[in-house]
Amino acid sequence: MSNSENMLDLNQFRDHIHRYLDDALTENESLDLLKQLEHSPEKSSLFAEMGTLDELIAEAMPSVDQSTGELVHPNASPVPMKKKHSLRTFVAALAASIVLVATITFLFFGANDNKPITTEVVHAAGALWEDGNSVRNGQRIENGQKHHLAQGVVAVRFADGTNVAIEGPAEFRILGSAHLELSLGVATAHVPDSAKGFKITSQTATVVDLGTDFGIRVSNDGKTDVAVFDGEVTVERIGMGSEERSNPKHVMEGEAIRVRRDRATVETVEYDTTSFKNAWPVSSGVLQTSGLLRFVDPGPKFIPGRYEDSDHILIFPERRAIQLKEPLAVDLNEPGEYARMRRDEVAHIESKQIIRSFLVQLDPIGQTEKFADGKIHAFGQITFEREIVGVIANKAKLRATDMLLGHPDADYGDHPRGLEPPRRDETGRDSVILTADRRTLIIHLAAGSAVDQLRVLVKD
Amino acid sequence: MNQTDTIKQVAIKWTRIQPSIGRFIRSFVRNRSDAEDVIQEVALNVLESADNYDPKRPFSGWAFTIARRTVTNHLRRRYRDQHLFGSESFEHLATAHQNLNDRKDEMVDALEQCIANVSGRNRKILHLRYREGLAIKKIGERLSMSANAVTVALHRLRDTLRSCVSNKLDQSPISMSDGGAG
Repeated sequence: MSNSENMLDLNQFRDHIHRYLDDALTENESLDLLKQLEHSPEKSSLFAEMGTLDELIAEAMPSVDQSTGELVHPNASPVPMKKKHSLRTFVAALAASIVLVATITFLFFGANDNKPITTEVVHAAGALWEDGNSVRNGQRIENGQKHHLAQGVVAVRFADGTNVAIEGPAEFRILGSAHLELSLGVATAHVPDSAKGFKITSQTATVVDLGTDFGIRVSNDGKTDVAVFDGEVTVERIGMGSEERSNPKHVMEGEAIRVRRDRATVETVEYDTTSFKNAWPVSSGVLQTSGLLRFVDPGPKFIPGRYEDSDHILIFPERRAIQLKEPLAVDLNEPGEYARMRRDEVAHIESKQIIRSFLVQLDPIGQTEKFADGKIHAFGQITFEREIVGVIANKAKLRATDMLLGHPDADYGDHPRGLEPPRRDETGRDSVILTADRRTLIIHLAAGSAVDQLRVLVKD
Repeated sequence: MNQTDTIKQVAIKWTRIQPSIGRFIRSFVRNRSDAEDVIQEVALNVLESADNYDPKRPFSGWAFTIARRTVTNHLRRRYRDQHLFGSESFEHLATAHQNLNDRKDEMVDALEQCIANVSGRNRKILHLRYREGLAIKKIGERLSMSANAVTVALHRLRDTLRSCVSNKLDQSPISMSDGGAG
């Protein structure tokens, strides 16, 4: 091929890459493009460069269009600068630990009605909109507009602090700072005490939270199932004549109800959380697990001491919104590996920090692998939504923090607990690594020992 | 180094190289859900192959080799043609991603400066595409433009940004001089 032909070929290839990045190629065209990469360093370099830039543009783009100082959406009102600054200052002073996305959400408050114009996606896992576009972290969800989620899980944080995870296929609208309309699909919600009164409506029911965790599933025919994982909600039958409306029914933790279009009453049904197994970890603050790690099902049965699973490394949610009155000693609070510390080294979390706790229980008797050294190994990785501020693995520290950070109904027992840090040159010991982003733990269990435990503390 | 230490070293090094390997994988696997599955599969393959890692050799090359094989297997399954991709497929692409990884931070800095120079409707197109994740057609509806006009504008914007970033990175193209920004 001559130089000019080569240039023409590369230019045509570049146009193909553009269309590939637009998601505009057919499957055969995509395949043809990928096949061209196999033996061409030039095309591979161009493809890598354009693909990388395409990803980095999203990273480098500010979340608000700063060229105009306005939201891009033509229907959105410009954010008054005075309001922006006062809210920004207020948020910063009130809760330094609130993550940036939450702050951005606050920036979109309207000036008069105190409702957010938009809410932001704080996490998307395998999520696609109906038109095939990926849901992106940080993407804005506009108020009042119906959204069609084709698949995957999307986590949305409302301005009042409520976390809702929605699993597709789903149709939903955000109707205010504390109101979600779900006309199809599955959602789980964690509503902090400060946001009691958060409401989810379907075609047939209104669920009002009284400070809790709950799940809701809405079917095409309007059937609405609600299961309460913790706390209490009220459910009211809607959509019928006023004479047939039900009185609000109180539903407590471990209970479930069903509302059907053709029945006027709210039925009590068997508590079953199968529908919520994908969304529940996300609304609880655990974004991803891999290997043998598994987040426990929601409900009063699934707490330490009451539930065991010999095939997995379990993660239990324990306590939320605990404000430390004094510094708390931990075993790991910086990225790196859990290791033996010198006596003069003290890792701690500073007082006044507001934290949330999870218990990781390592009891993988079943699905483990034997390596060449004859020892049993188990791997797992867990990514939290919030920053990990400390890990407790020492037996004495675990016991000392059960009262403050343990689940109030759990039975932690008297059996051996915790993980001993490896000594230098010691082989065959357990390993826990906190990654540089402070949100992921990599756990390598080098021996099938009984009831090894870790307490993971994240910002709340 | 004993086996446990090797696994720990591999796990630590993996966390550093993971973003770059993620970009490599997403360049093939456009569906985010599938891409996440493939990244997880690579992570497990890396950990399970830790015994084979020679610490005297660069980790990135070793990890990219595993990623390349995993992606190749994924594409064979995806396109249901066992003979479509050879075992050494995409070696050049993996090398290109490794090289880009070293300059990623510089590229983001340069991009921020280049994006700051984009204004008006082009800026809105960038925002709608990259922050809001809208499809071309939806962007056209928002901005009262035809889908074709949005496509042309977006392609020009990408080329312009690529050229701008190349110029800022020591006046040298990021990876190649041919087929440059037009």
